[in-house]
Amino acid sequence: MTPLILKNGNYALENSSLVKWRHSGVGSCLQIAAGQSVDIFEEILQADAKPSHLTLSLGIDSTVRWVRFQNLPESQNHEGHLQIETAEKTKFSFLNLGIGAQDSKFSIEANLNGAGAQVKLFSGSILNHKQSSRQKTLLRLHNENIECEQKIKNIVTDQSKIHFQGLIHLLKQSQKSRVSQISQSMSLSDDARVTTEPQLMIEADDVKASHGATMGQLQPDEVFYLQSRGINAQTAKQILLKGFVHDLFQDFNFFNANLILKKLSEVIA
Amino acid sequence: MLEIKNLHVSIEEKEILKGVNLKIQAGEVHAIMGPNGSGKSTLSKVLAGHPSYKITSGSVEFEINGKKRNLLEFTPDERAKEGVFLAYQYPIEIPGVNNFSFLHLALNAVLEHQGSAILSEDDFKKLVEKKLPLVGLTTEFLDRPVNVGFSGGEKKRNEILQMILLSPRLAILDETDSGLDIDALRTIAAGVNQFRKPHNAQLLITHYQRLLELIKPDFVHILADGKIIETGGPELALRLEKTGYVGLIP
Repeated sequence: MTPLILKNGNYALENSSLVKWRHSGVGSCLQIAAGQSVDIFEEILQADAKPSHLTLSLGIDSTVRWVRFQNLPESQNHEGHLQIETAEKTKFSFLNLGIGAQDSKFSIEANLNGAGAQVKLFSGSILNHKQSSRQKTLLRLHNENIECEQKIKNIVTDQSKIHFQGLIHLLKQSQKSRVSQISQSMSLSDDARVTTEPQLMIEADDVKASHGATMGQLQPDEVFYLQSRGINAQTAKQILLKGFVHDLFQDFNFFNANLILKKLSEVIA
Repeated sequence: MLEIKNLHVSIEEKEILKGVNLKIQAGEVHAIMGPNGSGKSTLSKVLAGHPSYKITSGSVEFEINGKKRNLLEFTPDERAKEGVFLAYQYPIEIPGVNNFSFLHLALNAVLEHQGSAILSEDDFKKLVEKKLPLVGLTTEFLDRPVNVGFSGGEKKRNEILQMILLSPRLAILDETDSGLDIDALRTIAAGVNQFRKPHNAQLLITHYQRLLELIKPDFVHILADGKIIETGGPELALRLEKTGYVGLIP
């Protein structure tokens, strides 16, 4: 399936028969009809005058894969909010990938309403210099048998900062649901900071839920292993960092992961 | 090809190698045996350029284009490009890095350095698929992340596959036989023997005679407490098998 391309000021989705894209003074609303499948590639290359606010409404048995790629110049700031409403058997995979902007804020509020929904919320940030990113997510499971996977991967260096706060709330009706929330970060400098606050609030008594956070560095033995096969140190580090975030991209085969290579070169320079 | 003179090596202020001398000519197979902690793996990593080790004195000369060069001045990737290869005792797992892409990149890095034409993805695929049976691996291993989820034997086979592809002049095999069942050992030994040519040399590090029954060494050295204390032919390994190190180490 060819992804729909969504760039600043280019709302090609309006003419699509698959989705409804409505603008208003305070934000936009995107509706995916029941049973429809759509891939979306959203590229943010220019800052909006005011924070973007999008409500995404997913129909029954719809399938959406969405990559949101924020690659703003470091001279600009960015702020956005995504509201998600799912329905029965919705399959929604979302990757929020941020490598640009001086100061970036992004929040997600998701109401996972329909039974049997499958939701993947992935996030990747690669920051250097004095870039900072704040991400906040709130996921509420309102129905039973919902699968929800949240994965966050960060690479930071120089004096960059990332703050992640994520709450998954399993309400009483969310029996037999399965959720996981994992945050993995790699720091390449002593001055970079990652603060992670993963939280689970569980009211149902028959669910599987896990969460965790790790922080690491590039392993010298891994760099040496690649070097000992003729690969120079710079390329070796780039390969390892790309490998670190690789699993974010696996479900999004329409996204060209090479778009992050230049940024990876910068962070290991 | 390789000459190590009075090599002293430390890690975290502890001296591991205490004056190693070793000369290896093209076409030769040398085996180094020795008790645990004698410095065998340290020697292999130092030759490959591991940055954790500090060379306190001594020299390592390696012949490059007919000239003796100080190998210790080369970075690990430069050594690999000049033909030094280390098959690891514990191959590193690299999550998220596809084995095929890794092997392709490594071979092209070496080819480019040698002034040879680099291989396209299709040409490399054809080449690697020819080599896989030599080490008893299937194409499935190419699609997986480097060494992730591989059994111990599969990791060792993957190391030998890399050796065959990169075609080094000096291959150092650090306990390649450890953790292998007899069939895997035979497969790997066959791969190594096929690689043996008059222009290259091999340095085998092993604890056991069984590897040396399958890969015949020209010389056997005993490394103990950071020094080579005895050198002989294959009969030395046989003697060790009977007597152990007790009678040999002062």
